[in-house]
Amino acid sequence: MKSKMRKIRRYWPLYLMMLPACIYIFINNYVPLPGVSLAFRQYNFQKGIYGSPFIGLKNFKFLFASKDAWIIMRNTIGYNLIFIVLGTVCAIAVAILLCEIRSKISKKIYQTCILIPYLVSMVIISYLVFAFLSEGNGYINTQILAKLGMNKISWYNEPKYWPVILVIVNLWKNIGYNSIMYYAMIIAIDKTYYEAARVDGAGRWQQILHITLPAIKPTIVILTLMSVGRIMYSDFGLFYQIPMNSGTLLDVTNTIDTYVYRGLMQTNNIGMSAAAGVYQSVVGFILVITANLIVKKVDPESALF
Amino acid sequence: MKRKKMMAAVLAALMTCSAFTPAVAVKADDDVVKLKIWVFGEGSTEECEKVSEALSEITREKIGAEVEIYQTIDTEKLNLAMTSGEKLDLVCAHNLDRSGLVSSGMLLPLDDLYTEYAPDAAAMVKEEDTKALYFDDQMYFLPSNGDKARASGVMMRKDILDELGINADDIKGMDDFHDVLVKVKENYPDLYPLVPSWVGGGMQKTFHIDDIYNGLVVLENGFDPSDTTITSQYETQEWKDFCNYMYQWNQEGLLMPDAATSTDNSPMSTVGFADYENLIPGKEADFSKGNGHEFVSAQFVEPLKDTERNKGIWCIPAGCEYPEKAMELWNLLYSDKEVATMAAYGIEGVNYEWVEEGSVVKIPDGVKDTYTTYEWAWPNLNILPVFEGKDPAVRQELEEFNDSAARATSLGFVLDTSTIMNEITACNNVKQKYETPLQWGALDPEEAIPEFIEELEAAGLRTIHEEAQRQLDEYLAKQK
Amino acid sequence: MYKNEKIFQFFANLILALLTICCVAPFLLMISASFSSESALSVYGYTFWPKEFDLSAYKYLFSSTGALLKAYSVSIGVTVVGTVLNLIMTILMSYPLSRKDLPGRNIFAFYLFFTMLFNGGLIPSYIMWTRNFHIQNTIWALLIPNLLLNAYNVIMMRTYFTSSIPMEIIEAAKIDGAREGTILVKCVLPMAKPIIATVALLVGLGYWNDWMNGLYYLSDDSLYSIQVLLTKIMRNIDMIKQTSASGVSVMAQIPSTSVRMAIAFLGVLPILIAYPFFQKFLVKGITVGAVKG
Repeated sequence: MKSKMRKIRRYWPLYLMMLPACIYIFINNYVPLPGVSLAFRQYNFQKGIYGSPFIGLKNFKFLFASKDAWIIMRNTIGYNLIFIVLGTVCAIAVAILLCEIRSKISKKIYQTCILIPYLVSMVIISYLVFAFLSEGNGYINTQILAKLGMNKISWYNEPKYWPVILVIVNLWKNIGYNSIMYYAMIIAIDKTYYEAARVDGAGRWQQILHITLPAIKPTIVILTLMSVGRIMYSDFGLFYQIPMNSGTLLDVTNTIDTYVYRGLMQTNNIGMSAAAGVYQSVVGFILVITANLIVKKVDPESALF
Repeated sequence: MKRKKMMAAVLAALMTCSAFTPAVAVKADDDVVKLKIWVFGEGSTEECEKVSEALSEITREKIGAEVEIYQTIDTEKLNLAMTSGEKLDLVCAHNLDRSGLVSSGMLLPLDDLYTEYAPDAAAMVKEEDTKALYFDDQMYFLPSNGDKARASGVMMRKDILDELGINADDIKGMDDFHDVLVKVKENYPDLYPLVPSWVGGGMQKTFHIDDIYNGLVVLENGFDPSDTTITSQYETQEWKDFCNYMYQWNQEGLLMPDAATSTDNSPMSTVGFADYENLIPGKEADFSKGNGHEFVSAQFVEPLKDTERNKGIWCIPAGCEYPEKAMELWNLLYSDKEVATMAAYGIEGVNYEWVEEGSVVKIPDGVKDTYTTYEWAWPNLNILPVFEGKDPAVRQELEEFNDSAARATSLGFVLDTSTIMNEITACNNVKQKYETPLQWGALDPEEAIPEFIEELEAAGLRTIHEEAQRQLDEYLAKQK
Repeated sequence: MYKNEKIFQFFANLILALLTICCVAPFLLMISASFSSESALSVYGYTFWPKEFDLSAYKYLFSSTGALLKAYSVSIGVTVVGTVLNLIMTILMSYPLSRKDLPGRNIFAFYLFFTMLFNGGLIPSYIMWTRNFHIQNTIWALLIPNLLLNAYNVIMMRTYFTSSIPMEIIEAAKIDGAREGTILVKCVLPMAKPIIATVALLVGLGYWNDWMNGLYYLSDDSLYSIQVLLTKIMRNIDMIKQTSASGVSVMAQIPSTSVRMAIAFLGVLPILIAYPFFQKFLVKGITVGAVKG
């Protein structure tokens, strides 16, 4: 016990370093946290958040009330799984290609350009997408399909195209950032490993398999774990603004976040929106704890905590 | 030395925390009451401040209080401010969920304040017009004077109608309208014959229904007092017919493409020939001015006075510190021409100037309009001057229009939604999926309407109807 | 072997070049649209080169009372200050967390990670920031709520420290009698340039692209940043939709397509200008870090 205290005292500068961030997190994230109790209350302004009467799980009912419930769950989780898998694979592939390119100038051009979509907000992207897909004057309809002699497609009314469109847009936006992230990790790998491998006669593919991937594995695991924790959340802009909030597409674009927003836009029931938030957090929490346990069993080094 | 550097870094980080300390002193002058008004509008902060200052000169004398005007059309922001208890004194709650505001205790009951502190306004308001302001026998909203009834129909480009030799008065319904649209399509390939009224497939209702709650709770025929059976708009024959028309017209290419997701707020000023509109006296003049062409209307549904138009939008939030002063201020806004004009149009000579002293105004030449709010958002439209291009007599015409309109069966009935929130939320989501696409002919009504109804029922439409029917029957019984 | 390499280089370049075009082309469409006349847009549709060159969108934007320039300066100021503060806190938090020998580091990691999963929601946060800290209608509103520290970045940086900075170096420095602060500044940071550059970029973007804080905490439009201005316009569309449905016509000024495209372009422009310079340092930082590591 005493030695433990002494140990802690020895590390005081490190604790001091963490202090500002810890204080900020405490204020920004922990102080408002009791507000989640709103999810279980019937909000009454005069009684305040913490004085409003409890009503149990009634606020949660709307999330499961209609037959849309399973559609929004399917969309939220389904898209996220695709994004996680496809996003990671593509980003690593691009990162590896970037590392292998010899020409310094083209390398720089690629790096610079593929990050551009990540820099802009979804609102702006929704206008870019609209420029391509608009039925009356979009680029695809007027310049491509018309020249091929094909009929115009009413993109914003055809649900069948949207799973693909959404995946492409999400990939397009995020691939730059993810691959630069992996690129930074790969380039930091000690070059002598590769030299040694080459001396041993390992090909490019073997080097990737046995040196590169193992070296960036902790990053992959952590990024994936964090995405798993957010699997019940969706990028509101992607699912609301990109499809221009089109009603016909709802079966393939409605996620928990957009459902809550649409349902509550007119009624502004804060108890119900709090309930949706709690539901997303709790499921995400359980999933991430489970995933982390599994990772810890398989490979303790990579676990998040 | 090294340690100092390290401490400097830590201090710099801590500075970020010291930034948390309040940056503004809260109150300077305790003697003067300052009333915060939020009104629906888009005026810039700078102009609002100037107008508030000028207005305070007058109100300080008349009611001993200063005013601070804020404008926004962002209802989510207003909701946030109200829910979190920001100090607001008088709010134009246009488009906020009224029943929700009342049931979560965010508003002050107004009966006593109204009779005691707003005598001038109270004397001007007709008894009938206060009916829809009550929840549970308590008045929560203040009456507004403006268009209290509405007719509906279509608005069309006059120049094109003239060239085609068509008289707008001959267009009496959807079939006549269809023939006109076909002719427009043939002769004016650059125009879309029928376009949305605002972004995202906006469309005014041109049905005979009496809409009690967002299309989910309606009476099929608002003009027929014997009909008190609650249904939804989507189950009425009239709406089904309408969707069939629109579906067919879409196939014929009479509608603007992508109408249901359009991002153009005024296609009528550029690419449109006609759209669906509410019709009230002065509408044609307003519309022509707003869209830069001359327009003429054809009426499909005759005027109806319903709850929606008479619900009143002004209220006093529960966080208000000086409810008496707030009510006095509202009284001025309703009954005092000078105050009302300044609040709505700004400072004379800066934001507006007289064309005809006391009755007609215009924006001064070369001035960019950064203050003018929506005149209907203020309590009393009828004491405001009109904008240039409109006959001042229109105010009188509007009064007559209101008085002569048919009374909806449910006039004065306000649905209390607090017990059916879950069902309403679920139904709102279903509506989003079907309503606009059906109304713009993007879905085949044969298939989609039955699906729509089925999903609404699964979402609890019948529960809503039972509750609404119970409340309505109770209300009607009380009226007798 | 050599020939293989050539073929590989060719295909690698081809793939990346295609990707690059995909990433850039949509922006060209946007820029072209912003320089097109409204009528050309509705007649010919969107094209990569304006059919009818027209500057009216920009004229309209720059005539409106200098609000745009003001918003620009707010955006730049907030982004610079916010990024610096955030970086300092992120480094100070993630370095101790990366030290395997630190007692209780898992507790701190969890303390941090927990915030990524649970939050109290908008209303309680809003009440706290406005009632207790009075940040509404001050510049702090754009700087402080949510953006000052991102748990995600801390975890990234911690991972980088753990995986790329050998414990031996720290041990050696300790034996030489160096203090923790010195170790961080002299030994760790020089080796962490790539991650610092990356995090700086992310944080800067977070500040530049943020509109939520502005939308919620500001009603004074003189403090609007460029993104708040932009979002405000886009959001009005939603608001009009809700409002007009209740029967009144709202003639709110939704700018025309070309004006919207112009605003979007102006919102992206500073990033596009600043970013290549930044990119230069970023790549340099990565290489330097890698050589030394």
